[in-house]
Amino acid sequence: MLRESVENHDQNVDLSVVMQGGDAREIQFHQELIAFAEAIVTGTEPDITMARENLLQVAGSEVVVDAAGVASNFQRMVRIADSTGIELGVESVVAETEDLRSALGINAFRKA
Amino acid sequence: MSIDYTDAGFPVRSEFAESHQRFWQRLQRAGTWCTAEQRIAIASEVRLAKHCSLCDTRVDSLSPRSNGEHRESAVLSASVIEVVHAIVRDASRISKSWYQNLLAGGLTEGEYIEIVGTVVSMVSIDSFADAIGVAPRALPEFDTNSQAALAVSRYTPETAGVTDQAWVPMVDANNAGTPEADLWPSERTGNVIRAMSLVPDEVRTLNDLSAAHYLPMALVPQAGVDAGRALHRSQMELVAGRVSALNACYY
Repeated sequence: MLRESVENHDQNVDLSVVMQGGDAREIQFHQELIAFAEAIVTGTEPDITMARENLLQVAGSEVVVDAAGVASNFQRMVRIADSTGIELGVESVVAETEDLRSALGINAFRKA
Repeated sequence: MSIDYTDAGFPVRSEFAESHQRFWQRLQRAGTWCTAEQRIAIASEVRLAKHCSLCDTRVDSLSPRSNGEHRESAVLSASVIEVVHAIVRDASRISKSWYQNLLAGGLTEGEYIEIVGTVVSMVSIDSFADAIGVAPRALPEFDTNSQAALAVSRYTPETAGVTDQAWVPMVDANNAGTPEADLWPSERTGNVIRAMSLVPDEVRTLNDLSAAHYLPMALVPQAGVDAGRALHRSQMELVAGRVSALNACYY
């Protein structure tokens, strides 16, 4: 979805940012958004507070609230996928994204 | 007692509190397979799992299901507690054999899906509270004498079955003309939504919470649509992608 959305916004983003963190400079507030997402998943309460304050300072409270919503939404979606053993879905999507998943290293997450 | 987020220190759009309140109301009623008492106990167990020392050990161990027992519960079986803790703390290492062992031990497929649905909703709601810097909202109480809290329906969709697309039974993607037609536009949904469809109310909950947290389901496949949020779509997907990768999610 990130690939499609950046294409739709005429942005050029190295998609490896989702795997490794780092730079997606064509996306506004990219550093603060990534840091906030990382703190929510792996950080302590002080980490989250610091990341939230940094995002709040540069982007405002509406962005903080929406980013909190998206991050917490995907804390749910990944657990549904993991606990139900779903496949990617229709073959055309699987084929279309094979190179990308391979290049990013996402295939390493596949369950046995 | 109504949920609000006025203690956040900044405005929080009302859809969050409203959708979380609706989920609390669902917990107060019996579901398809679990009573209200069981559903609220599962919600409470999600919070206990975050600080579970056995889970700390398991997360750090090579074998995800190393020896040890979780504490006992007066309301939930050991299998249910195992499911809750595994999904909260170590979901990326859940395996098909683990799932099949649970079924062999007596847990039904429907119970499993309802537990998954309750756990992941709680994870999302509590994660939102953490992210905006407020304490988790108090869980709802239920009326022990209420028939609505006790009577499970055990409803199973006629079209649900196991396919090569998931371990769990799912409703067919073509849901037109069935009682599950409201869950998604026929033939137009992803497996991550269908995965919960053995218990259709779990898909309805998922859709309700997703509309507040992320996007209404109808907009999700339209990658160019910004939906009028403060984040444009690329920003949303950057956050979504990073969260998914950190959770080691293949899907």
